[in-house]
This record gives sequence, C-alpha cells and structure tokens, in this order.
Amino acid sequence: MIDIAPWQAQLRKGAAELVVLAVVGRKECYGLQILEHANAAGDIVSDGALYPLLNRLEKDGKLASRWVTDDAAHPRKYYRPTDEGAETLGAMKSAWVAFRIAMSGVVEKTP
Amino acid sequence: MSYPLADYLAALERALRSLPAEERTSIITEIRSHIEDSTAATGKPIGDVLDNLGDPLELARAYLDQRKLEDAVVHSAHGTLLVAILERATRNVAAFAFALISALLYLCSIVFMAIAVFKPIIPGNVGLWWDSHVHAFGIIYGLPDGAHELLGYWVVPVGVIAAILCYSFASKLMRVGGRQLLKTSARQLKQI
Repeated sequence: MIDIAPWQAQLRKGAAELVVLAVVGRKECYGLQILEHANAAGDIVSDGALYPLLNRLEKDGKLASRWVTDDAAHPRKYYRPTDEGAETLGAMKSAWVAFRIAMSGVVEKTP
Repeated sequence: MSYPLADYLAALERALRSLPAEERTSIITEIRSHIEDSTAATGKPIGDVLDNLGDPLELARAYLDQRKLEDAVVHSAHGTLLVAILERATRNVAAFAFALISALLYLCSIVFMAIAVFKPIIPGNVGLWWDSHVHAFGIIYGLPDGAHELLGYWVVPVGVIAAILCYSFASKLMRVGGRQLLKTSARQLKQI
C-alpha cells in the first residue's frame, strides 16, 4: 500500500489559510462554524490546526475578532477579515484559480 | 465539567505559560468553547473531540512556534534571537545565511576586542604590519626580524571601534533578518 498521507497533509496545510480567509470572508464566524464550512465537502482543516492558525492570522493583522457572550452559555470568538485580510484573500484566490487550471491541464488530462 | 476536559485545559494552560496571561486566557476560553460546542452540536463523546484537537502539548507548540521568533525580535536578546534563527536555519536558506553572517560578525567582534585587550599585555605581538616582507594584522607570533609595526597603541582604539561596529552590525542584521523571516516564512514553518 502506497502511503500518500504526508503529501496530503502538506496539501491541506497549504490550503488552510486560503480556506479560512474565504470562509470568514463570506460571513463572520467562530471557530467551530469555520470548521463546519471548511470541511463541508471533505477534510481540509483539522481542529488542532485551525485555532493556532486563527491566532497567527489575527496577529498578522489579517483577521479581526470579537467575543460574543449572549448567543451561548459560553463566550464565542467571532472572526472577520480586516482590509489587509480581504486583500490577501483576493490575491490568494486569483493565484489559486491559476494554479487549479494549470494543475488540471497537467494532471487530469486523459490520454 | 468532566475530568478529561479539565485535564486537557490544564495541560494546555501549563504548556502556554510563557504567553502573556491575557492571551493565554483567550486561547483557553476559545478552546473550551470549541470543546463544549462540539460535544453539544454533534453528540460526540468528549474523548473524540479532544482526539480531534490533538495532544495538548502539540496544540500548544503550534501556538508557540510562531511566538518564539516574535518575542526574540521584539525584545532583541541576542542569544534568543540567534537560537530562534538557528532553529530555522536547517529548514530555510535565508535563515541559514542570516545565522552564518551574524555569527561571523559576532566572532569578528570578539577578535577585535581581543586585539584591543592583548595589546597592552603582549605589545610586541599585536598590531598592523605592512611592508615589503609582511602583511599582517592581529595577534601574531613568529614575525620576521625587523618587521615594522605601523599602529602602535592606536591599535587599541581601532580594535575597540571595529569590535563595536561588528557587534552593532550583527545585531542589526539579526533584527532585520528575524523580522524578514517572520514575514516570509513563518507560515511555511507551522508544523500542524
């Protein structure tokens, strides 16, 4: 059996930042909601990877956050992109689309 | 609160103790919220939810890996900064170059300081020789007879100034390098 798990882990790692920015770019979300949206169609971001990533994106000035205390018994931390985050998302999106097209052309071409 | 949750959060909190209290509390609150929401929403046993988050020490490491370099850049302790950059040097060419050049400059700084210190102790062997036979600068043994020393005791201030220049240039480089690494490569370095 050929093990491609490490390669898959690298793929997910590279994708995580774009996925998180894209999800919170649509609607302000807290951690668990981000995970639900991000992984709706397959495992992309793991629970343990998400929270440190959110922490870093916030420090890098790409995400802003606020605590909401009145929609649950415990406080939830909601994230939304800053202007810089939205700009980063736009740039990453174009790069992703170009990458996807190039990959499809090379990899999925049937003989 | 069940025991595994308390244990998990306690382990995470201990592992994050180097963070400022405010940030640590915020992380713990967010993770606790995630665990409680997950168990409530999916009905999964808490053990599964904690397994998905991973070992608390691994989780803490993911938070701290980024933090260490940041701290070093902000507080600019030379040792910490050099160690933080060296840790990355095996994984990153730019980090390796910064580490190498900075280390060389620190070394030069020590040598220049040594020249200044040893001149009064062994005056005959410290200095700058520049004539048709000898070209040498530093702490030298086995000079040919009659070699002409140019600087005399001026080698002391020259050594001190050169040492300070090397030292401040190395510090500057480390700070610029550290900041650059934070910007460009921190995201590639995340382990999880």
